[in-house]
Amino acid sequence: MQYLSERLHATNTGKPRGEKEANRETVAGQQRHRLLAATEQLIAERGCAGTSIERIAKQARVSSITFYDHFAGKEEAFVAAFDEAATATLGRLAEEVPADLPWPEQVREGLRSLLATIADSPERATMCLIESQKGGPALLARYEAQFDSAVALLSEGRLRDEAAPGLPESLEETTVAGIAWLLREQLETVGAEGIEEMLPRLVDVALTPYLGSAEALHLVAPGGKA
Amino acid sequence: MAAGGEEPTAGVVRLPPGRHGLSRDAVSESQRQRLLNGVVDAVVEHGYNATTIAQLIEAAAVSRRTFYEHFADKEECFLAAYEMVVAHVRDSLREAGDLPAWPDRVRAELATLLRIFAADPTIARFLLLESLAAGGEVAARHRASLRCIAELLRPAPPGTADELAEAREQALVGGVSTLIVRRLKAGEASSLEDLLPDLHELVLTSYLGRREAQRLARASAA
Repeated sequence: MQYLSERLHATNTGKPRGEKEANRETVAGQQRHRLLAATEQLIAERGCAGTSIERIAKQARVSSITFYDHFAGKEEAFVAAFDEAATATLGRLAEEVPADLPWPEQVREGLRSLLATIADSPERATMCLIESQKGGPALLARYEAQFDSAVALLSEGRLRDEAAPGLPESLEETTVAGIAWLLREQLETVGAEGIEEMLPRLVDVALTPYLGSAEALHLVAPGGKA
Repeated sequence: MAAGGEEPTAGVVRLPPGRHGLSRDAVSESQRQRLLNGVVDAVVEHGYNATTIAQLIEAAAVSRRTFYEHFADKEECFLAAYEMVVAHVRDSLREAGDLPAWPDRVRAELATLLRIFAADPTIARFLLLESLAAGGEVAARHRASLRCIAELLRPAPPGTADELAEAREQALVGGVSTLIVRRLKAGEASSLEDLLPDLHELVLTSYLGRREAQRLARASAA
């Protein structure tokens, strides 16, 4: 969206056509960014059912027509917002968890990074952990896919462990579900503030089945291997 | 409530219209029971949020007026049915868990839970899924009753759990209930009871660590 005055001004500066194209792309990128941020915030505040295209467009300061330039409909915007949140969270995770750490410490650092992400963007966490499950099949499928990859990540612990073949088959599924359960409950009853204090509890839940509680807790004890 | 079969809601029949010689109280109680049964079927079919009073009274085969004689709104009706289901589950677990050794007790309780859910998957979805979808007071009530169920699985008497043990317990019941829901959604209600050995070991593991849990789980299953 450009003012005519700007357009006329541009004829004077004689910018080459390619640059104008580039500008348009930047504008589109900024619009998309604002639309996704608005979607995220509205879903967290009002749930998927209470989030309309009109509201998203208004919050993002674009017209409904612009909304349709970017997304075919509401569900597509929901899924795009979820995908962006997941990509950002996983990107941060990859940055903050050194790949050369022993596996139990990777799990601890992964949980630490996750909690920090939630503390930094509580709305994003509410969308991903709570509202995504009430927003229709496409969004639910996105949640389930992330759930499954978390299960796969945690299952790596078995490969490093000679006693692991005897572990219950559904251990990782139950553990990931249990951690999601604790996070949801905390977000719904207390909120994101201070959520980082959950780290010892989450490490205990995640690692006790592999290491026993004492060793799991040693990993988060002050003066421990942390 | 197909499980057990002796619950008051089992096999509810619509009273014949006109003079049937039943007292007002008996009629009222029959209506109430039909409504409680109806709300379970209606919310599982349509989802809690989308369920209308019209769908609910259709499932219960009562009039709209009768509905409002018993309940102020959908949530009140849902909660009344919810309390009844939870009480049934809790009583069944208590009865099954009347065993001296903790590993045997946990196994019997989990077997009972899975049997109830496998026998009536609608009840399972109502209890584990729709109560969370309802949000607000209903979801808070559900979390509280899962904590009660967690206490039944505990080795030591209540009151001894510290913050860590409590979180582990909550993660366990939340995790197990999610696991059951995932199996139900995948259409695996009939094989739900196959989860028993896994769940038994999971519960023992979260209290004892893996090696001791494996040993006890196998001894108890034998």
